[in-house]
Amino acid sequence: MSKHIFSAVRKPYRFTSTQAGVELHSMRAHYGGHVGRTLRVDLTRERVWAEDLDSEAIRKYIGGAGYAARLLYSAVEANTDPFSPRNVIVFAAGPMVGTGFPGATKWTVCAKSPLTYLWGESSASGSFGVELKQAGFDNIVTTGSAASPLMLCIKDGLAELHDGKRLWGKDTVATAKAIQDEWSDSRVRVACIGPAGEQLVRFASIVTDEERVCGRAGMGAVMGSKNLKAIAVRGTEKIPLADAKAFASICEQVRHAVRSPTAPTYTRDRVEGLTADGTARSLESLEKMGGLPVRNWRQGAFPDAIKITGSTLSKTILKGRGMCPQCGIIACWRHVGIDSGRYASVKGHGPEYETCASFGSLCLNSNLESIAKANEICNRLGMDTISTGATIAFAMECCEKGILMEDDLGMSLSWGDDEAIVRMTEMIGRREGVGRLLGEGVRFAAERLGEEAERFAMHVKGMEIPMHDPRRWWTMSLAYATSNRGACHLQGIPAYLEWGLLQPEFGFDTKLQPFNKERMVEATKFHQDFSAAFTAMGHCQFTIGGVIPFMMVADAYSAATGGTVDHWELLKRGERIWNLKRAFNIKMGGTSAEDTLPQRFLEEPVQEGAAAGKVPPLSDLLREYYARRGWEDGKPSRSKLIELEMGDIGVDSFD
Amino acid sequence: MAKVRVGLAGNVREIVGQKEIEVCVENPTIFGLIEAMTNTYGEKFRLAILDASAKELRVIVVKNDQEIDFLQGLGTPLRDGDRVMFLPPVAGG
Repeated sequence: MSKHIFSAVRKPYRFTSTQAGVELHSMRAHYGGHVGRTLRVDLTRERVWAEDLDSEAIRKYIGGAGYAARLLYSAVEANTDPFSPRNVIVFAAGPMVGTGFPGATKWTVCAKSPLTYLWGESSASGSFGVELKQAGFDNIVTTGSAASPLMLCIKDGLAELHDGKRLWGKDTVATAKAIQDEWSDSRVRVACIGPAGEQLVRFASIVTDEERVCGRAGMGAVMGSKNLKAIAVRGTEKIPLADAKAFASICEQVRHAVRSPTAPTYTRDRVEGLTADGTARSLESLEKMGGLPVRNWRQGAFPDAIKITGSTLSKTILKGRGMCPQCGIIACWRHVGIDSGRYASVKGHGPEYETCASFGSLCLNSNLESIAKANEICNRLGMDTISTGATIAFAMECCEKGILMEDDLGMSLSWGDDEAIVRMTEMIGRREGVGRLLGEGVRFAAERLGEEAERFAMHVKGMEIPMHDPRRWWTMSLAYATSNRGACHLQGIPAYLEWGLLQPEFGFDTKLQPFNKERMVEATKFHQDFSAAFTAMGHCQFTIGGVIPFMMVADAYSAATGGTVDHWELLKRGERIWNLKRAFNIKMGGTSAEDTLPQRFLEEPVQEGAAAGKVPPLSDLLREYYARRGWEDGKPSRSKLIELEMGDIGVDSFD
Repeated sequence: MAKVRVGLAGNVREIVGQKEIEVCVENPTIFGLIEAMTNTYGEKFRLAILDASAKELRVIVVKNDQEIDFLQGLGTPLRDGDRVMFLPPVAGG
């Protein structure tokens, strides 16, 4: 691995044109898709330098979050506090990002999470990852901590650290605008934190100038702990492709395939439905099917679901739709505005399903405008909407049970009080009043409040639960319990196979039967490995799950990177990535004892709806899951690591 | 003949104009129900429920909390008092 070291504070890192030309050419000869460089940033010493990608790591772990996992496995020690300078934060864009493949714009931030103290990862779409690669880098690896706020600027191969003090305290919208104004270029892409990240709210997010959000796992808090306020990127370099002509042809076929009358009905409906009403379109269906969380997961029905569902949003506050650059398939972005009333002046990206549920039914709130307002506050202050809504619901139950009193809160907080929800969101984001406690997330807040509160602190491994009830979708019970980043509904989302978003190319050509263990473990393992692969590549969930046949994706990947890789090989690489993140967690001290669910899901069924009286058979599912994974006591076995060519990271996995 | 309660959401609610109605079905199956409602609300109702081949559902159909995919599909029998829901597909999120 070659290394170019440039010294000194605030001097630009600069390729000579000859050097840049030689390196790009040599990279393209080996593999395309990747630009071939990682930018290294040491915030303590205020130095930046670049290194080439490790080609063996790329072959095994694809790129993006997979590559980041390999880096972090070696770089982060077991006793590293997530807020210490020794934590490492990686911004990674996989090989398909920016190539023009429909929906391939997902970039990922990875670090040790301050919520879980385990593997932390969060992805966003939009232009930032594309621009990063066009600026000459596949990844940014950031270590240390700056003495005072800095921002990182990258422009066509140049990288500099700049004073960020003037931006500190600004919300994410103001930060991005200030940077774009300074550069006199509205096409500068910015990823930044708001006051929540600066205040180390444990579920603080990273937000871009397009309001795309790396929401989960507290990656914004890690940035804040390093005094890194923002990264600004501008790039015009073309991303190399091994066989550009074949790649373009496949992209064209994909665009026709998903809209063709011969595409599966579930594909066409997904594309049209998401465009029409966003993911919140599903809210009413999920309520009627018994899967919507209500009142901190204590009820199975929410008759007011119609008031906060996607079609209602479209008819009331929707001002426009949009899509990621280079998508061309699904216009899932919602632009909303509220012109009058208590929540007038809301203007920006609108709430999607998770947000409508977390600030809505989870808190017994049916006021859609207040949900849009809470969403806006989260985007501006930089917080995860799932964790914020879940923490407020937790606080509501604390109030109901007398664990928190009005004096503690400085306000009343009762179920369904939309104004209180909005006010509490702001307090958490600014760590004001009881926000100082609630900004710790439900696990740490409950630890301080006592054993009774811990009984209804709804999290797995410290991460608050997403808005799909595992007592209804048994695949999600296993997914939440075993996901590497804590309760996660995206890596994987095996409930797709319960909902009819099928993957026939992998043998899943019929819906899974509800409340029936058959194939559920197989489906969960598959979806985890599948998600790990396509996330590392840079693909969006919406264009992959039941939409673009993965064989076409594999063909495109082969054309982009060179070589011949089929969908099964990509799934294998996803399995390897999954096991690597598990190994990271074991290194950090995680155990199989944490592969579980809150007591409420295991012992307290809801009394209404399709899931009435039911709880998931988690122990049975886990037993089969470990067997299918080839794990012993929840750890990858030596033979599994050898099978996956991971012998070099095996040592820490065994007693 | 069966008298059933029908719950509607999404597009189909827009077409019918109500969120819940009672329907008398001559041919007491899900398919019969769709036919009966098509007669009342027009071809656009059928097209919102079934694809052009009339074989694949475009919505989720639930009878008494069970999806008909796991019962007898479009041939699922109906009785007096049954509750049927037509719901938009789940798109994730």
